[in-house]
Amino acid sequence: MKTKVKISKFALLAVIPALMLAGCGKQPAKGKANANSAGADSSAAVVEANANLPFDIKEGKRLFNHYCSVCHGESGDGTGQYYGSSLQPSPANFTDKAFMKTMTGEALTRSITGGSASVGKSNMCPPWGKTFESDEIECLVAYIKSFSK
Amino acid sequence: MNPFIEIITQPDNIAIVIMILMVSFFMVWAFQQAFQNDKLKTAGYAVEGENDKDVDTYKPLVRIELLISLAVMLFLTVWSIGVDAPLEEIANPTLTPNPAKAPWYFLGLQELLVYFDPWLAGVVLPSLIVVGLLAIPYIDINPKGNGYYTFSERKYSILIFSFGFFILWLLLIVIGVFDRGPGWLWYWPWQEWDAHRVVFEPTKDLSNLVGVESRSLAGFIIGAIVVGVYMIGGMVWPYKYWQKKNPELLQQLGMIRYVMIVFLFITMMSIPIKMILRLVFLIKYVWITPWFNV
Amino acid sequence: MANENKNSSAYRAYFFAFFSVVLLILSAWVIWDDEFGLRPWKHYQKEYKSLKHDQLEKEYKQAQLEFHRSGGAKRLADLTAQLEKAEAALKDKGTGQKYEQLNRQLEELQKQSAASQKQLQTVRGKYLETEYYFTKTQKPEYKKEMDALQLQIDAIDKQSKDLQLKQEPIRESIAQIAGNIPALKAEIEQLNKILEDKKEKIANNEKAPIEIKQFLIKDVDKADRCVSCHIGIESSKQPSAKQPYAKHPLTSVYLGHHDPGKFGCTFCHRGQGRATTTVEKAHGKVKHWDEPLLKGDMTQTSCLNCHGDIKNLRGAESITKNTELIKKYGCYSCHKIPGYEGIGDVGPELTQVGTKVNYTWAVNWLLDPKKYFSTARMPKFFFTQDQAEAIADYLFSMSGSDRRDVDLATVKNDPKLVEQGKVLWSQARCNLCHATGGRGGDHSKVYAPDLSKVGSKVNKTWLFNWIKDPNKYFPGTKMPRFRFTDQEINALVDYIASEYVDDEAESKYVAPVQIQAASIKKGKDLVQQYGCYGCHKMRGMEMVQVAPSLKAQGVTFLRSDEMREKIGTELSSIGSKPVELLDFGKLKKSIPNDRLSYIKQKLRDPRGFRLGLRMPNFRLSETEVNELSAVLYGFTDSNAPVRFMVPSRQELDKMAGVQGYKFTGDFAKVIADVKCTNCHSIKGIGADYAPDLSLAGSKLQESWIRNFLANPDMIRPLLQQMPKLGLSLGKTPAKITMPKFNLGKQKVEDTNRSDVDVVVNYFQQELVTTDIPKNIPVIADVAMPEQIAQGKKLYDDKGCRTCHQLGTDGGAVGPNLSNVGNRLLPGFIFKHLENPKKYKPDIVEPNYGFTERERVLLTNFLMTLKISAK
Repeated sequence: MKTKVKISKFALLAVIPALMLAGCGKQPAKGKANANSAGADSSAAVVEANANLPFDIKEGKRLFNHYCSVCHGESGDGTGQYYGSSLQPSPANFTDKAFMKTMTGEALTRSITGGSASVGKSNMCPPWGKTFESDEIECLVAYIKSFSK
Repeated sequence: MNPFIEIITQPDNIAIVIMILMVSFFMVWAFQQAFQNDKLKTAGYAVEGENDKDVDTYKPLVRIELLISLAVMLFLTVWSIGVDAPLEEIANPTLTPNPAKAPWYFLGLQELLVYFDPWLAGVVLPSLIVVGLLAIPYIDINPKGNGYYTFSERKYSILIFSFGFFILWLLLIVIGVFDRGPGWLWYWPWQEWDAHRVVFEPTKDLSNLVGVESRSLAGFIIGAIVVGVYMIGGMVWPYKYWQKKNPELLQQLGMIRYVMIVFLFITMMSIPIKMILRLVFLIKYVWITPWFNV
Repeated sequence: MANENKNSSAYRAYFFAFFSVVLLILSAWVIWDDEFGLRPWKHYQKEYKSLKHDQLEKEYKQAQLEFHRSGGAKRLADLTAQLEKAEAALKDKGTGQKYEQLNRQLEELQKQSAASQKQLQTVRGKYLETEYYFTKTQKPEYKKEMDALQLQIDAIDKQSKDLQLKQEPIRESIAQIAGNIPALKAEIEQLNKILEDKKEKIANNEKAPIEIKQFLIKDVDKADRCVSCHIGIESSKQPSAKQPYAKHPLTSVYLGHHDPGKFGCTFCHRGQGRATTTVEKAHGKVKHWDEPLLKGDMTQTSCLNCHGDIKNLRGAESITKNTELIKKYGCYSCHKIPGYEGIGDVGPELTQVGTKVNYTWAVNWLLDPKKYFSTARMPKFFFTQDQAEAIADYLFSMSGSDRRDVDLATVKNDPKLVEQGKVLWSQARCNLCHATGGRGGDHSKVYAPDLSKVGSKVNKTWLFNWIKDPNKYFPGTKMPRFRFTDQEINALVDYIASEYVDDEAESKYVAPVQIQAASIKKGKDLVQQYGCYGCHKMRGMEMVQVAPSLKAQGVTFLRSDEMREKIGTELSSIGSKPVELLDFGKLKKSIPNDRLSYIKQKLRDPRGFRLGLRMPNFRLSETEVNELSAVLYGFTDSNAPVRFMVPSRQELDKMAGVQGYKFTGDFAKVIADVKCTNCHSIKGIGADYAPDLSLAGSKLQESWIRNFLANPDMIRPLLQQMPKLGLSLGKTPAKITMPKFNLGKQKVEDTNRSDVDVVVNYFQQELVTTDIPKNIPVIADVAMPEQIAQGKKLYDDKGCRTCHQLGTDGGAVGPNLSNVGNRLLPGFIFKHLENPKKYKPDIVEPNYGFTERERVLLTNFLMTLKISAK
């Protein structure tokens, strides 16, 4: 931004020679440049928006879809299609705003790291602490929290 | 942005724009003064500074110089804060920038490369410029015009200088800066520079015009004759002309001075002639020799 | 005159005053600009400092609260009270005076000791100096002096030792008198330290200097000053998630493996590392800086600079996925791309295409492949009708002399055969690779053509020959040779020809029309101009049988050596090509003039820049454009130092002069025939569609392999399926539930062995590792039934049933374990439980961190899970 301001300052200086040399030839048509701009369709905008998601959300989503969605479902509502119908309790529903309010980032981190059994629930969700690095769990937590937003 | 505005506001070119303004202003101003003085003189008045033997330096000169140096310093400070050094991409030994331009004050010489052999444009002509400038005090025998502005008393000197400096030196620099783009092709200031522009411009040599191969002996001879006629004719014809018109002047000059002046003059004039040949008639060389091409 | 002079000099004085004032103001401006205007990072560092201060302050307050909550404060008060009491008691007992006296004595001795230490240092210094001169000159007087000094040193040493000794008894008596005072003091200090450490951190943060910070990487001549603004990039706890204060995402992967002190920032992120004056400049978003900052997934393109193999590379997931597109669309067919040499052709062989397809279909296909099926990979070349016909003429004249369509009306299909073919079609799981009617086919990994309308495209004779032996028509095809009998093939052909027909198919040349020589000539030029041979193999002039009628007209075909050159630009360094060498043509003003925009635009509309461009339009989706351009952007002639390089396995083999892994013996023949590597990966060869078989011999039981090959079952329901290839069994006739599928024995070419034997043998000989033990450790102190019971308990406690089924109980994430005792070898289970990722990097199973004993117990339990065969 700053350079632009600077240039415009000196554009003032250039006005005089510009007037002098303007006699040499006609001014080019200005609108022409915009007329045939490359077609930017709406899909490009969507793709762009996706690419601009924060990194931890994107990485969290990737990890979630690979490791967690089998039980918790890709939409995070606890309806993963590989979770046995006979199994109880059913996986946590991350889209439940009331439930998610009780789950702070720290609680989620603890429950992911040590498994559901470590926070006094059933043993159905395994401990992931030895599989993920701590910052991978941070990404997961960020993504899981985004379901209830 | 408008390519014209863009090119004149480039940090590189600010100096050139300022130069154009300053030179134009001072040129007009000097000629105005000269014509005024001439008018006064024809009316029989004395001109300021004409008969001054000693001038007080301190008050009128040093003080003004101090003020001007202050002003210049202010201007340079603002300029250097306001505009960053116009750095370009990192130098890449495998990639020549296009266009590859000399420092702006040499762009006139670089422009000559379009019209002349590198040997002539790069060595002979610059040497002659230096030699010619050195020789001015020795070949200028006109004592008038010292310390005051005048045109009528130094008509030829002023015209020749103006032509050499304004047209051949400065105009070529301006062309080199604003009108030469990628591939050293000609771009009007309002045209966009395009590194991929294709221009088809077949050039030929002079002897090709009469159907003689320029690199043959016949071509060599034709070229030699043309160049010889220009050089020798250019020497002899003014001599004859002045002998008739003003034999006294010739006598005052003497043979050596005369030859030097005329040689330098016709060499200088060969530049615009060659430019016209190249730009208008698409003639590349007049005379091709095994050692150099003219 | 004088008056005038005076006026003008006053005038000048005003000027002088004016200039001086302006100069003064300017000087202030200069200083401000230099101090702040050109140093925006100072602001960021200050801001970071205050954010960090807030964070530390908060931590301090929290620690304080915690301190109070956990009784630390109470304990501290207690201790202080005790200390006061003890000290008071000391005085009360009348020992106070003595205590102080002793302390004073000790202090005195310590002073003396320090003095003698200082003396010792002086004498030692002298000694060293003398020793130096002696070594230099070898003069005896120096030696004498040295000896004298040595004596002095010894004396002082002894003296100071004596002093030390004298201190001991005093210390002891002090300790005796003081009782528990020192212990109390130590504990108080310990308690205070918890909070004081936090306080110190706050103080240290205050003290941190505001300065340019940089990573200097000498061997690549980089000075990356990014950290001057991104000050917290390496911190473990970020004070703010806002840029430029945030920490690097996924630090353990990216910075953990690439120490910024050795790699810097711009090596991966590009941008202008040295720039510090504005954000735009530092991020390289200025004219003349061709390398703008890479952010987000785009940064992963830089992995390609050094990593030869990005498959399974943690942190390179996005770019790994993107490189699939290069293989999908076969960019390497026309463009030279290092690392993509020797990959098979993307398109089928075309020499005999005249015997395969209908002429009208071929012309329509050339005009617009996506019109035939939407997943077609072949791009659109924008041929005119004439041009398409010319190319078709050229291709058809290689195997005949007529434009010819099969008359669909005359095709007769036997309904019985059709019925049988339908069963075969589903048994062979053709739909696994080939889509029909929008179902089946996986166009992300296997690129088999859509067969929905194939009945109107090819003729039945060709189809029969193709299914019988695909390699014969197209050497190198991915289509496996199923072991069908001729009768079965006829059934399949009839089924396909009756079921998958295009009702709108045109047939203009039911009555054959002679091909014109002029059209062939035109087609030849077009084939050469557009380099069709890049994707499709065609035999050269030398090997083509020209029909006599055409030969008489002097028809010629391209020679083999005319079909070798890649017609596209080399892409090995497109990601670092100087922008000014890119020709934006007529789009110069309508798209941003940078490299990435150029690449994207080229992929969107390859011929849009100017006339005369030849690249066809692949009609990529916007996502694909982004993904592909990310890969292309990573093809740079980076000047990465050798120490950065992580060569691929192939490159390593090449460097070591070792041949890459090749299948050997009869197994190689089976692979060439059945194309196991279409789906399975074996020793780095093949796709990751199905389980990696590199260690199958150490993992699987022989009897299970045999049963599975004969009758592939679902191991992981819903996730993966294996087609029935109809492999024959060795000695005993296969017990196959579908009688029509009983193929009888088939031998591998030139040998006497059954293919199943060959596969099993190869698995057990070659695809094994000593890493997986044959036998698992024995637990001696518990009886086996008890071990199994304990294993079962572990299985239940750890919640294995969340993902694995026993019978029908449990989740379906992992394989059903009901029959695992018959399937896996115990050594594999034992090893696998130690670290599941080791043999399958993308496995979902977490690492439970089992002890060895637990693993043995679990293995023993799992090995009891068997379903007896009948």
